[in-house]
Amino acid sequence: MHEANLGPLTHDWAALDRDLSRILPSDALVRKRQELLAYDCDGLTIDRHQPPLAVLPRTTDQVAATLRCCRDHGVPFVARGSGTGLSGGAVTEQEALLVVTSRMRQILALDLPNQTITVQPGVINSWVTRAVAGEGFYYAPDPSSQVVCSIGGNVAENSGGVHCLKYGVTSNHVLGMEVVLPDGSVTHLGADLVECPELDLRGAFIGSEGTLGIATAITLRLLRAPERVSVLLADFPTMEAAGEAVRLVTAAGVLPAGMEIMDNFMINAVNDLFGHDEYPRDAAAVLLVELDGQAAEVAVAADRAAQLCRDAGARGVRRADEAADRALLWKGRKSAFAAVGQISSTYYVQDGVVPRSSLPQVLSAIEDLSRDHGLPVANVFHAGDGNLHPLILYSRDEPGVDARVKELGAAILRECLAVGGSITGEHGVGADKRCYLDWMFSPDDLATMRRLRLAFDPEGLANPGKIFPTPTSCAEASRKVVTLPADPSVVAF
Amino acid sequence: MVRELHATSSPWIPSGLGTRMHWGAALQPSPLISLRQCNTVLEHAVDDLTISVQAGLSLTDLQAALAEQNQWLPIDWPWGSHHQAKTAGTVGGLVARGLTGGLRHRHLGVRDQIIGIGLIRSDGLEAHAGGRVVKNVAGYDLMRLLCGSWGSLALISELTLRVQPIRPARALLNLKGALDALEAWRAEVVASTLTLELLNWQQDPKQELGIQAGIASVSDAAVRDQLNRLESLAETHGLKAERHPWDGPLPPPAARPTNPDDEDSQQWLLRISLPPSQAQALFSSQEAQALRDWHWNLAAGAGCGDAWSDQASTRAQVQALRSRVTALGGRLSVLIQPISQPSEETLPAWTDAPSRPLIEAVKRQFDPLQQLSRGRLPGVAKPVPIA
Ligand SMILES: Cc1cc2nc3c(=O)[nH]c(=O)nc-3n(C[C@H](O)[C@H](O)[C@H](O)COP(=O)(O)OP(=O)(O)OC[C@H]3O[C@@H](n4cnc5c(N)ncnc54)[C@H](O)[C@@H]3O)c2cc1C
Repeated sequence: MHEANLGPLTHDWAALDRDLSRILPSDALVRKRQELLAYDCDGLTIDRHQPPLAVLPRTTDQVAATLRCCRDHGVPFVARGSGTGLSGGAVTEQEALLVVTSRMRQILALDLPNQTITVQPGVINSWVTRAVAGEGFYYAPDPSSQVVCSIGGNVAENSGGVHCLKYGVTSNHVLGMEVVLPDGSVTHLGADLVECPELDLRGAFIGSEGTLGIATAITLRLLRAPERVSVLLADFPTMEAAGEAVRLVTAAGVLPAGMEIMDNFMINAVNDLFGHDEYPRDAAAVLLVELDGQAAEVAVAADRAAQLCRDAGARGVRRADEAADRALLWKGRKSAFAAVGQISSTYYVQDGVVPRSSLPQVLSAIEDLSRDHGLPVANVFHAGDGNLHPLILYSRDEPGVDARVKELGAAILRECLAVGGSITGEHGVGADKRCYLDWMFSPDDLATMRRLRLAFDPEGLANPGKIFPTPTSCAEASRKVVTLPADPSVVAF
Repeated sequence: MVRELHATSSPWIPSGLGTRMHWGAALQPSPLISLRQCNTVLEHAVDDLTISVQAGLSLTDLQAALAEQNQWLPIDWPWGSHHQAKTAGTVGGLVARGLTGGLRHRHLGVRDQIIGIGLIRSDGLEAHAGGRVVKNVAGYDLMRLLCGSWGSLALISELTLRVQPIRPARALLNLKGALDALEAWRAEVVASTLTLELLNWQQDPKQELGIQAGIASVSDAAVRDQLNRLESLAETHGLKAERHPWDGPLPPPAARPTNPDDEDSQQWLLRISLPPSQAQALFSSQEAQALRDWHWNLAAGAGCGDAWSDQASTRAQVQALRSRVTALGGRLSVLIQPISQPSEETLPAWTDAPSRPLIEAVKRQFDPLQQLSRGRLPGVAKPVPIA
């Protein structure tokens, strides 16, 4: 019955299956190896682990009954939304039941007077905005994967987006959550109010990467769409100058919705993809600044930001106020990953963070590392909050390249940490970065975080093995040869 | 010191300047560990708009240090502050209470400004979470866990906060008129594209209920434009609008400080949080009307704020208000209540949250010997007493 090729299984899957079949409709269980293949990895295709069994519940009660069943059988579980995560979080590395939320896609409540919406976890990020755009509202966190990724996945990763510089990440927009705990009980975290007189377990749950339970209903804050949006595109002769522009704009109190930078490698890749020179080929960097808000303020802010870019040494500044013109300025940024895909069929995306003021220094260190490792690196990143996404390009045919890619990725993260940064800004730790977490945190820090986990999940059933380094998993990882294929569907991060 | 207390299972209470120890659930008397000596700025990364401080730094000193660089932390003075003096308390205290005022309309809450934390656990171990960068998802978010924990989980020792440049142009607009008209104006404003800095329901015994709007921007023209639009909207709703200068960036503190030692104090301070569209129903309710001569200051877009009085109101009246707030989908916390007579039951500071068992499980994990702030656990009406 269980066709997955997992080697010897330690749990009694037949018994679990029998019990699950009693509580779930028959079409909610996925057993066939062919069908389970769809779940063997997430957006990071390094490691593939097919689950022995997957379930597709539709309701909170079904999730709760499933987790009670898991607890009774001592079987761990892994939640999965749309499987676009980039840290291997939704993968069953250990023998575990996969609980997929892709049938939990209902909007449960809409309260426009209070600007909130309550959704099931499988609801796709962009559907939320679509549901309220007609009324002039939107949901601010906008990961580039927003047309596919789920709100449950966003909550678990505390996802960001291009506009999180001004509007914040997922955690700033979740007012409350219904959660099924690993023992199968259902609770509510936060009271769907901006301020809630209880320990902020809603805040603690967000970004916990599926290790504290499964969110089954999420209440989100909606924002009013801005009156005016302006986009600036400035090109710079040096990365230092682009970094200085970011600093000046930030310090001036002109809080842009987003600030994105592409480096020279990326500029040329984009020009090649377009077949014409969208950007000056000799520019060391182009900076995109999006300003939004009240019309009178945006008009002033855009003028000021343009002037500050020139002060920092911009050679040219283009500006767009109309939707079609703005889309044109954004087009290169949005095509960045496709452009890299044209040059190299395989690349690996890193996700480090540095203080904004260290951007030029770290980028130049990355350039050196790229040369030392003999691997090209293209940079396109959220400059406004110092979140780097270096893309390491490589050819899979080259012997031993995978280990070098990993080494370079790790070396980049060390540079980020050396200036007081972080190993992940938005993609999460998951399985991919757990062996780097102790570069950032002491054993006492990690032990303290584990206490939270113990309160939610004393038996360690929820997404076991993720986030926290263990001697075994990290020793294995250092030996493992990895394959890192590029994802052609990637548009922008 | 903390390790020694742990070895003997002794209770203790984390504190800052001790200005608001009497707020919230009554504490079992035990020694205070005060961070008032740990009051330095560790690093102000001016260009990165972040600041790392020891938690015992006073809020006044923090804002003063930031102001030197034309920056600020966009969080209102806690209720009862006179910002010239030390009555505003410490940064650690601000985070432990997790309460904000009208500025949250634009800037969100205390929890949204913390990017890194250092803490001392009940067993004396030091731990950190987060970091010094504004975007970071590595490890669990202990910043939010500790924000609003009221000293129940650990001693907050260090904090890294995101700060903002001060916007140079600003103004206030006060609106008066009928409650229905105020609510209609408010609903339209919060659903509009206007970008206000603050929006508060305000009432005091001398003044009828009104709304105060605050605008701040990089440009005078943008402030004027918003004022004009707010005023013409007020006109259509038959409201009286009055402009006021705003020295800012922080609005003046809301009330006089209380004297916790005052045995005869009739002081009440309540914290209310409810769906913002329900504030009108609250104000017009019998229960709110019964509380004559109370002050109200409620963020009108967010639905949270304070109500206070030093007139003799009864526990039954406040309990009735709590029931009304709950019925409207909100929560009411009792931060200060008159000293009770021996025969009288005090009102619980917090009501039980649906996640109470989980809150208690977190408490057991972080403070297994239940040493910290006995009697106080947010989201739990009556923490299990410890002999
Ligand atoms: C092309 C592309 C672009 C991207 N751009 C961005 C970006 O701009 N910003 C950004 O932040 N990320 C980005 N990502 C990463 C990814 O899309 C996000 O992390 C997203 O939030 C994952 O959502 P998902 O539904 O796919 O979750 P999954 O990958 O299915 O799961 C992610 C994690 O969430 C857990 N989980 C899922 N649902 C639940 C639930 N209901 N309760 C508890 N835990 C749950 C899983 O166990 C897993 O640990 C991008 C990815 C791709 C492929």
